[in-house]
Amino acid sequence: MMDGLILNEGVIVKRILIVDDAATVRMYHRGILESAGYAVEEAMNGIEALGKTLETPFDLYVVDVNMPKMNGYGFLSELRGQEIPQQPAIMVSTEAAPGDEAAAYRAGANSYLVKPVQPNQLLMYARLMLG
Amino acid sequence: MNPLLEQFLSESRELLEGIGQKLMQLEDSPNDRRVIDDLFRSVHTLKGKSGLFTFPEMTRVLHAGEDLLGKVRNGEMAFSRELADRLLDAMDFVGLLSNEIESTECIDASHAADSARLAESLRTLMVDLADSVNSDTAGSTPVTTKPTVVTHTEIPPLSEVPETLRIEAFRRCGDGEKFHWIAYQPVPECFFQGDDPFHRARQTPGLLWGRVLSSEPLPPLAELDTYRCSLKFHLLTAAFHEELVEYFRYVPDQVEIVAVDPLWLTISECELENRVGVENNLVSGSPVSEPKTPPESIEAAAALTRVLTAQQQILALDDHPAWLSGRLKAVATVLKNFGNSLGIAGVEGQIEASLAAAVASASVSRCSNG
Repeated sequence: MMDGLILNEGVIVKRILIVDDAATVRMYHRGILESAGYAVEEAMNGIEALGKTLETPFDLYVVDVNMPKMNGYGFLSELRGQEIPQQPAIMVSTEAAPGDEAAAYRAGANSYLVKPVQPNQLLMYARLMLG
Repeated sequence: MNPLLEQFLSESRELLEGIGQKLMQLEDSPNDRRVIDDLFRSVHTLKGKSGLFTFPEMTRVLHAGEDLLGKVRNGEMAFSRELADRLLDAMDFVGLLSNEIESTECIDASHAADSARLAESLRTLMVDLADSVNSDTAGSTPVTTKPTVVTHTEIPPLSEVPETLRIEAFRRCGDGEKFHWIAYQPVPECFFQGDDPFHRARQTPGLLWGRVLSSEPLPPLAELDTYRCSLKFHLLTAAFHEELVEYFRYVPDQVEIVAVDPLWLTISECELENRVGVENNLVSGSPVSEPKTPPESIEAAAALTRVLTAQQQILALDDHPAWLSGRLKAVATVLKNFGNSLGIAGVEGQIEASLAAAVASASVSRCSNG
């Protein structure tokens, strides 16, 4: 199966889903990732993210922790329970308390970053995890 | 006077007095392990305290003394009258510097030459005696000692540095700047010595570029000992040689500093790779394979390490949630992506096989738990 979005020119663009209830954070992360040529979509909570994912799975997920309706942990564990290609997920949190990182990994994240995430840092992690 | 400095002077006098007494004790009983241990610890403590301030003249001598006593403590060298005399000279010098600090709160730069001479005298003794030990024990593993930060003329692998940076460095050479290449390989147990090699590498004065490499073949992820440092650093810096020697003063045996000839910066990557490849072949007998897309900065390499460590942590989790299989598959995807981006051939098949086994095992485990 071919990952990413195939453009007319035959160029494959990796698709990234940003899941965050804060519009400013979504805008910030979108700007960084789009500037590097990625195709970005947004979801405001875990439920919306799951719906979009089941329509067309993404190549990378950048997921906030605290969100209404379904939080980041809930979304990731639901995502990892689906019979779809399992792609990397970065959990992004304002928390840096002991145990938070492990909780993110238990839920299904592959990496854990603390906000505010520096543009270079986000891009570096995205590139590494997308291969 | 600054209370911290006052405290340092008071403690340093006490330590110096103790060092003098122990040296005399050892002249009577040179094999007394307890006294040798105490002596080493005192010099080590004094060196550590001097390093808290900017007293390089003092630290340099104490560091050489500490290294020398370390050899004695490890049984690599015997305690001798000559060794005691040179250490006493060195400690007299440290006492003299302490007096100067007490009256002026600093050390005059004019002491730098004496400091270098005394440190060299201690280190020379280390090499001489180690050589004599080696010749006495023919057939045993030779003791290698680098007297100080090494400077040599072998061409370092400058092809690792992106061309744009090399061109910039070459231009700056034209303006009179000088560059140094540093190969820094921390000892594997450095984390237990309170060392932070990553921080040290990043804080290198005048750092223009850096890269982190593995100093030894890495074991499978699950067997990786995260308390063992298996890193080495390649750094390109615009700092002066003296500044670099001073900066790496606590780890002189772990660092090689090479003055970069401006012409090396202009050689094409291909030429450099060929030359470096030949050198590597001569050393190891086999070509060294470089990653297809090597990390271009220390930050990228650090991120890579952190992501790999995270995958290791995930694989080590001992819970069995309903989504375990998906979690394992996501880790496998990350590792395959890594393998692709680093140009590691054949890794995909191995990961797939491991994943299939892990998923099957997870299913069995879930069934038996359920």
